[in-house]
Amino acid sequence: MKDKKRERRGKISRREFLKAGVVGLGMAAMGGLTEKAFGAPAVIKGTKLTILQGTYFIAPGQDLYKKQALEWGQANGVQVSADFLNWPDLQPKIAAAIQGGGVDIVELWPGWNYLYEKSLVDVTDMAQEFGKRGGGFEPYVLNSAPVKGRFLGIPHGYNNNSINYRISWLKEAGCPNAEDGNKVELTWDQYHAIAKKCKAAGHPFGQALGHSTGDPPGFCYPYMWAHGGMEVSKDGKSIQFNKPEFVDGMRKFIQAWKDGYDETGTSWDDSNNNRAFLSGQIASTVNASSIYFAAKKDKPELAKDIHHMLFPKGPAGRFYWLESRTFAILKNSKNIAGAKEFLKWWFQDKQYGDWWRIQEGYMLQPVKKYYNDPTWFKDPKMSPFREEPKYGINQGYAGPPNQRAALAWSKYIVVDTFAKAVQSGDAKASIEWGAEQLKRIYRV
Amino acid sequence: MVGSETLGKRVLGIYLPLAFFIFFLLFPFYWMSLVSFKPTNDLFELKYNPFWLQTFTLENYLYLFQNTDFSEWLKNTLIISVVSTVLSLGCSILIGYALARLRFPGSNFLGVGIFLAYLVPPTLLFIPLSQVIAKLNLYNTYWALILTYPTQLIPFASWLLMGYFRTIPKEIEECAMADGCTRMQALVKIILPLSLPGMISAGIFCFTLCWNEFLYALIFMSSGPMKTIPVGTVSDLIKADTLFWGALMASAVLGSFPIAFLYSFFVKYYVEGLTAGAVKR
Repeated sequence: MKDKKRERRGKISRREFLKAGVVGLGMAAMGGLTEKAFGAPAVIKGTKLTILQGTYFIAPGQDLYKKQALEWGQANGVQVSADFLNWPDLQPKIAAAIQGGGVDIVELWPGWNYLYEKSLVDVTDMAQEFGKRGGGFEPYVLNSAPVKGRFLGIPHGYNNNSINYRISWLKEAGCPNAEDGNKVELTWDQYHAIAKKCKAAGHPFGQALGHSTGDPPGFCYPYMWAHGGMEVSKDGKSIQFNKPEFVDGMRKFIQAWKDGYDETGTSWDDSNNNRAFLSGQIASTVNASSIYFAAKKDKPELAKDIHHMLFPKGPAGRFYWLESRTFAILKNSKNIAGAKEFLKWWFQDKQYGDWWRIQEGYMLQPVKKYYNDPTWFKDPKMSPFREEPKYGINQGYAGPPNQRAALAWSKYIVVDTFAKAVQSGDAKASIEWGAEQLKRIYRV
Repeated sequence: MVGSETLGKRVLGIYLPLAFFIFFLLFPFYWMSLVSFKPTNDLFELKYNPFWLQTFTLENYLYLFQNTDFSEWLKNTLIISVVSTVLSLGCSILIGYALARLRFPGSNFLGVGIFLAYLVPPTLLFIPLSQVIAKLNLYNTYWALILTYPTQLIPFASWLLMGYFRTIPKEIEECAMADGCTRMQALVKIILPLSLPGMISAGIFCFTLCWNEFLYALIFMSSGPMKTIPVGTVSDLIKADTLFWGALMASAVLGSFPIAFLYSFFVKYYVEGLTAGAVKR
């Protein structure tokens, strides 16, 4: 009888309805709590997540990232593995992962978003949310990270790179305001005049011009741009390398190389100038703040005599080669949902902010909010780097940082042009050689 | 010149070139060991003689064992090298013997094919191999390397052993078979004991190649403590543009020790094995 009544009333009694409602509300509340406490849906529980990125110079940054990833994994029931590789070994490992799988999140370096465009998950919404929360992306990020308007990785910044110098030696050579790098304002001509005096006093400047991913392009691209040269124009097709003003700039550099630099620099890689600076062989070099940090740890007396300054200005202005690194998700990942949840969580203010701050200014800010962060003012010797993002432009400028720009970069065409120039002493012929190489890449 | 009785000629013709050669070969090992026993500060101090120790320290070796997974890397490298070498040697003995002794259609073609396989560089092979390793679900396991290393080891070792087997007179084997041995028994009881120098030579070659291999180890097995010495050394002791020179050299010293040890015992056989078949007897 009762059953029949229930059928008539739509198969559910009032009591059962209320019971179900209470249970449902309870579960919803629990779900809300779970979401808050662990930050991710239960669907990713029991999955695996592998993250691959380059090693950190600032070891606490690497340790913190690993700790954060493992904590997130434990809270969400995900088995997380965070692996760190030597920088040059990252790309073959990523290439293999794209073919064979086994990695979910990868750290991409400038230009790689273009190279692996078809293998990356679109994370535009997540990147834009991070940018919006941070008061907008710095221009160098917007120049370099999006591929045809889409974000295929979330930008997390780039390591700093500027001029590291010995205060006492530059002071002796007459550099104005040498004791405070924040106040040093030079042109390339003035910088090279100081180099000449320093070399005469037995302390040449040092510059790596070998095939190495950091310091050689870190110097050559900005010097080229500052003297009116560029690889291509905005259309990404017309080669703008062989320009008279750049030839003039190169002639000056050839002379400065003889007068003011350690001439063995043509065979130096990223580590040689660090070693030369730390052993007191050179007075100034283009490098990240890794020299200063190493000196603070092992040679505190030397660290007191080190400061940083912004790149000098050239006739065309001041420039930095600066592009963002990104964290991207591979399309062949078996755990795209987990990867998205992790990145969403990691790019929150707490996690990202802690990670960024622990590197004490070694990592440049990708979003404007961190420009005024107290981190920049703890040590005045790190403050000059804060301004670097303002002047950052991408490889392949004024064109886009696409596959061709990445190819020209990986073949070290701009760097080799400089090396050829200082070795041969012929600025025009070296730049003509570089322009010819670029034409082949841009198929002009 | 060689064997001359005049002291001056002997010095000029033998001892001087030999001294130069020894210096050229041993200097990197001297430098490696020297740097591994220097404190970091001394490495950047120009006032000290760079070719001698001012202060002796074991801090680099301690760093290696306390701050990295070096003992794990050592264990991984040893297991992979030994198993790959044994596996490759087993296959190469059978292939080398078959190519040297058995006559079957296409044997020459097969021999050339195996040799050509050796010429394919790992930089071309690693992408397709990574798909195979992923399909077999072997990433970050010993098997990923134990199964891929023989692709480089077997072709060379087979050719080396084939050359060695050809130097052993067929008649010995035929006598054994006439006395009742099967072909396999003749191989195991007669040919293999006579081929010991060749096998040692192939074994050392295989072991050294496995021990030093970098690319496959980086691609297929480099997560957490699952690294080999070459991969672990560069990924954990080079941080961006800063190299931990002392620890790097300590790792290089410890990493090269097993190979040097192995060579020192078997160098005589190694040379004999490599040169067998070079001249007709």
